[in-house]
Amino acid sequence: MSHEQPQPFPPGGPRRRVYRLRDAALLLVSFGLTLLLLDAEGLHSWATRMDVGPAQDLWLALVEPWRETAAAAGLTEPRRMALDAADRLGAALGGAQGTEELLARGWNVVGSPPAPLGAAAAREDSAAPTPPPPPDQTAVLLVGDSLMVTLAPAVTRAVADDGSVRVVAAHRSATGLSRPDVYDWPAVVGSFLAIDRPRLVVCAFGGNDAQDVRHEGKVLAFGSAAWDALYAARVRAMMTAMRASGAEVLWLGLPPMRPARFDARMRHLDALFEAEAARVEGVTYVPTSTVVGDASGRFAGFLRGPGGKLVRVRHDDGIHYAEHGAQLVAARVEAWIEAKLHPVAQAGKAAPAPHDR
Amino acid sequence: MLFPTADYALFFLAAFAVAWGLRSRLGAHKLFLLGASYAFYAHWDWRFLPLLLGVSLVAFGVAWALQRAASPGARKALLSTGIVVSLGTLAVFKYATFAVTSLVNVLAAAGVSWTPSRLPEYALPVGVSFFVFHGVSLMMDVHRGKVTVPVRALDALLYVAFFPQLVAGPILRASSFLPQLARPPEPVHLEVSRAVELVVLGLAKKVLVANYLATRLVDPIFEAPLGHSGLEVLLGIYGYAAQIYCDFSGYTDVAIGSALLLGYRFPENFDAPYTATSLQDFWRRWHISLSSWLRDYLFIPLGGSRGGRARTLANLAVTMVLGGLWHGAAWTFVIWGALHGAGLAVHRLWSGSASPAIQRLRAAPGWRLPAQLLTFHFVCLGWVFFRATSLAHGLDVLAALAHPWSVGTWLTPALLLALAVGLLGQAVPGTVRGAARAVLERLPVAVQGVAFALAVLVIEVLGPSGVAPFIYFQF
Repeated sequence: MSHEQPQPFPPGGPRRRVYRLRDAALLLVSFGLTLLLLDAEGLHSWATRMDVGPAQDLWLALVEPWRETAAAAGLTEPRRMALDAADRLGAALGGAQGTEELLARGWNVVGSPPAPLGAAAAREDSAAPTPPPPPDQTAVLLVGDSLMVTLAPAVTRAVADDGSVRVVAAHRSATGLSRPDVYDWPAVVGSFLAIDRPRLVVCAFGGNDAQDVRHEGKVLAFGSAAWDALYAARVRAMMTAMRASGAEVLWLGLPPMRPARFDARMRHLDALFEAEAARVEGVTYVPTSTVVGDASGRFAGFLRGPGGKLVRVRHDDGIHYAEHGAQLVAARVEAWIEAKLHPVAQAGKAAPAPHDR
Repeated sequence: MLFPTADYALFFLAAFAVAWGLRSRLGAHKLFLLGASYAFYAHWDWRFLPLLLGVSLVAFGVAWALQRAASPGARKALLSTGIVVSLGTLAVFKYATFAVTSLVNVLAAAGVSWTPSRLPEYALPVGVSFFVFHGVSLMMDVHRGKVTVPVRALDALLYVAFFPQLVAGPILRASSFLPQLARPPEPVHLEVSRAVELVVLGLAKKVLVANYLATRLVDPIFEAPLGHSGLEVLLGIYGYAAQIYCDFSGYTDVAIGSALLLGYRFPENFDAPYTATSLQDFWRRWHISLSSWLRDYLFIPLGGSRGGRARTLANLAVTMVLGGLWHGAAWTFVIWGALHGAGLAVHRLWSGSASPAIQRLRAAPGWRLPAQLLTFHFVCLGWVFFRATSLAHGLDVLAALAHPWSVGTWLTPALLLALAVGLLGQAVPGTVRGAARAVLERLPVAVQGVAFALAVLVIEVLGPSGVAPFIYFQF
């Protein structure tokens, strides 16, 4: 058909190029090929972040040899150079200096200003065999996944009246401890421990961890004995690293979830958290199901508040905390923080949390 | 699947190849796009596929019957039934909990204790507000005789579910989209460079500007407004204005570009909204497909501006409050909508004033910039409640503006650059973009493909790993 083969720039018409389907296909193919050639690292990173399973196996089988070939041919160099340039540009503009969480830390600090300890010096300290510096008696580190996103501001507000507390919050959605290949929380927490030297650490992990993992070439199914052993070891290692830095740890349990199957998986993780907390001195495990659940500890979207009002404690998705729910959990966290930082003032008050060791 | 991911890129490339391959067989082409759209939706949450299908079938059934019913009474009954069922579905999923808990709390405040045996709590289906509005548009447009082609089941289902717009719009009109489905897409109408440019710019807005501002500026300020200086809070509010614009218009750009590559045209959804000189002007530029939907299917049926001043102002207020509630079942959205309703009412009084002094001022060239600044700051006031988690939280943010104004060490050039790009980038005249595109279009198409790929690589390198969901997905 003649109208399918127009001139690229028809005479007399607007200077707008007219494309044929072949042009569109060629453009998309050159677009795709360029990315395939220059972004083998990016593709590999994408494939490694996929859920463990047959689809990931297939993509890794395609992408890994390709990445090696591309690297051998020097095709991954432009991306590396671009990353280096981006880092330099970011540093020049004050916008990037390492991991995002380390960048964001200055934002999430309230109370007294951070202790004057340079990041480089801190890294040096952490690498040296000498004992770590003593904790900053005012610093409280909050770390976790998306559950911490609403919890961190609630805790920050809860302790705002105590001018001696410096809160440092580091949270990242869609991360956890089961996939260090996706996000290396132990390394990030290690940096925070070295730089901020927190006296107390509050952890909220697990929401994204109910998934199969690949370990030493094998796929371990969630909830299997091997999976439990691996995950428990990672939890214990993180608790131990925090304790080794001199911090005391509050490990929050997972709240009840509306989807029943998901909730069962979260209860499984809670049992692992509680068992590991019991094994590490100085780690307190606090379940949240009794804080934001109904009288039986089951999921409740709303709870009765003051004056008999119904207040939303959980987000629409039945997973995350709503503002009031976060405030309820934050009150528990605040009580623990105050008891640890000001034990004399708190001595007359009731113990804030069960299972406190 | 989110747009800025390899998953979507691969999904789209496959859809592009198969859809164009099936172009000469229109039925198979549309059936494939429908299947791809349902697969796209199932990737989000397969449990709600029956809901999407049900809403689509109700709208199709009513539209089909309307095209055959002659009696005005029967037509009215059909339309009413269809709208009640569609909006009722939306109400159950989105507003039932809000309505019941609000009633319980009103009664509690009056000293009456009432506990419902069970709260009607449901997970919110992704995109429900958008696909229900598509269904309503189909029924209303057919009832008004604006759909000139016979409504077919496959077309109706695809119109409601077409994947580029399925989860966050833009909201298409049945009257303009169904005719596009009546014939095969024409490759001669492909504006490939414009489409790919929209996709790349949309990704840049979302990945570079919106995500950066959210994590470095907006979230920390809104999480603890009382812990920041007045200037920090003001910049946080400006940051949210830039973030929500880049987030939502970025999504829309990718949606429009994706559809265009498949041979379909979507309406524009944004037109430099922060350059608006009045609130009325703002709503002609912000989320245009929603504001025009509300105008045509709500404000005008309510009586529009035909019933005198008081009635017009009331219609405006009702439309905007319901428009606010469309975003979510929360009092913060009601406040946002009410603010805009009140602002529009004031503007109507102001622009219709008989005072010669006011009209002289409005006509003066020097009034344009103050009008733009006033409008922008009023819009920002609304955004505070739109972003806030509660009324008290919004008031905290506003109260923190009165804190002493000091500049912290955090105000980096990178942050200011992102803020400036997010707010002022939209003021770049269309002619500049047109000229840039004209230069690009003179390049061989293979070179254009390489240029776009390099742009995507730069976005990936500069952007954070992992992608935050788009703000409008929650509506």
